[in-house]
Amino acid sequence: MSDTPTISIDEFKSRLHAAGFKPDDKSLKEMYDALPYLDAIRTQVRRAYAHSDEPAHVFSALELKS
Amino acid sequence: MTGALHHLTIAEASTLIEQQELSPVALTEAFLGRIDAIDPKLNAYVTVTGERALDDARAAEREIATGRYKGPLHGIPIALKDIYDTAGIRTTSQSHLHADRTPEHDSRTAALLRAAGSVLLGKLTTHEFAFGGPSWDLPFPPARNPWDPDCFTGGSSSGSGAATAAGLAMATLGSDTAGSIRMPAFFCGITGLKPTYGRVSRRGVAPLAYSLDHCGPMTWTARDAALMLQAIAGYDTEDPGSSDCPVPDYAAALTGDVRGVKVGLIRHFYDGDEHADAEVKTAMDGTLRVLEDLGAEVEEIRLSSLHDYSACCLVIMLCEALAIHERDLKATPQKYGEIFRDRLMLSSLLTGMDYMQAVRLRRQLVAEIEAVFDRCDVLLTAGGYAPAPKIDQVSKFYIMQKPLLTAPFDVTGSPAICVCNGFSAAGLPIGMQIVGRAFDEAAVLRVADAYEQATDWRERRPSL
Repeated sequence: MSDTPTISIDEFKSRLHAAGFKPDDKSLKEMYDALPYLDAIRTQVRRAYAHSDEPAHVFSALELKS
Repeated sequence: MTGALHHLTIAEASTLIEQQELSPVALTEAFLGRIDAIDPKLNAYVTVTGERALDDARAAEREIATGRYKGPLHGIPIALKDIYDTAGIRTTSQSHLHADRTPEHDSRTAALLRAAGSVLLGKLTTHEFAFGGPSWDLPFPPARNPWDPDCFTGGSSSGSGAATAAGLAMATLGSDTAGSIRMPAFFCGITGLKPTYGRVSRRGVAPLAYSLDHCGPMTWTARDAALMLQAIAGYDTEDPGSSDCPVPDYAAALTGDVRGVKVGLIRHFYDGDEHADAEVKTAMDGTLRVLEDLGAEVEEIRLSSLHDYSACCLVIMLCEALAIHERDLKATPQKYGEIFRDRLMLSSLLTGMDYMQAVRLRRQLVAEIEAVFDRCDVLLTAGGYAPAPKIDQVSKFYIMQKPLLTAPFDVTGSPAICVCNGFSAAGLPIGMQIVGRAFDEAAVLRVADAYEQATDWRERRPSL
């Protein structure tokens, strides 16, 4: 895991603003420092799935009958 | 007897109560007195319901005296994590957002415990909405560890762990999304059972992550966990995650006999993928010897990396939690504590793709666990890496920094219990997890009970 964030703190701030959040400077800095942890877990869940692999969530119309 | 009442187990007290050798009123008064004396050091309670408790106890006493004994929870003093709705009793989720919230209805589990004749002592400290903590900017202070009040209880069922260990309630309910029953059980030296996903209704319990949330008991012994589970297990049409699966007699499964039980040891979770302290590894080695002496057959098994399981759990949990709290977090961020707010704001950088990939991975991990149970009856691994840290040294983002040993079994929904299996040189408890097939809580409880009977860890209590 990289110890340094892959984006600048300004980019990080922009993404939070785009998501609707405006943290104060202290929180912004602490979250930015923790960003590598978040990046590590999102990387960890990726697999080389084939296009035809079924998703885990399958909509079943039969359940609407009850 | 009065001096020791608060350290009776449910199994011990219920026998005395049924025989009318122990008064539920006297028992309840003993607990209320102990809460008055001890809880200011531990902050386990956010609300003590003294009048309600005495009313419950008097009713139990009358009923038992007139031949209407309801069963092993009748007259037993219990308490609930403050995310469980209780009719007419403030339920805050430890948040300024719900500081004045008083539900009209009991959660399903609170209603079942009431129907079983238990005595409600009060509501217990939690991390904010079972997620943000330990925090000092919430309506109530964080709970302290009874073995050392400078130490962390674990979370999020922090008050449930502290109260059960300190003899401030005979049993409690917690909730577990990534380990919130089992982590406090590990740090506080108690027995914490996360039942199978869908086994216990979550209706009326504040959600953290719909597809991962579990409700379960926190007790001093596995036998007491069985008695509590018996009262709260079962199908609930009003919980969409609830499963219509028969509920067996859990106490009947506690035979003490584990001869021939096949135990799969997941050593690489705590000695390979990550590295637990030497004291935890030594305790695990000791546990293996005890189980083998009892006749169990231990085989080391290998699963996907702990990092896969924990990342899968966290991505799903963070996305679902943000979906629940997004509106309030944007409209009134100041009503949340800093830890809760910052963890979820950071999580807003996760995407729909991240969530979907985690859900796909979850399916693979569930299949992997199911396959292992073709040759194992239960699985065994450590409950944590090290004894409780100092509470003021817990990092805001600790849940992301190191994979959670408890998270795999929230991902798979498997029943998992954390049981004390030793103490550090500093006198702090440590524990192990025993994991079962879906809906086979009976096997988990049987092995846990046999282990507790064969060791003397349950005789040690914190000195307060």
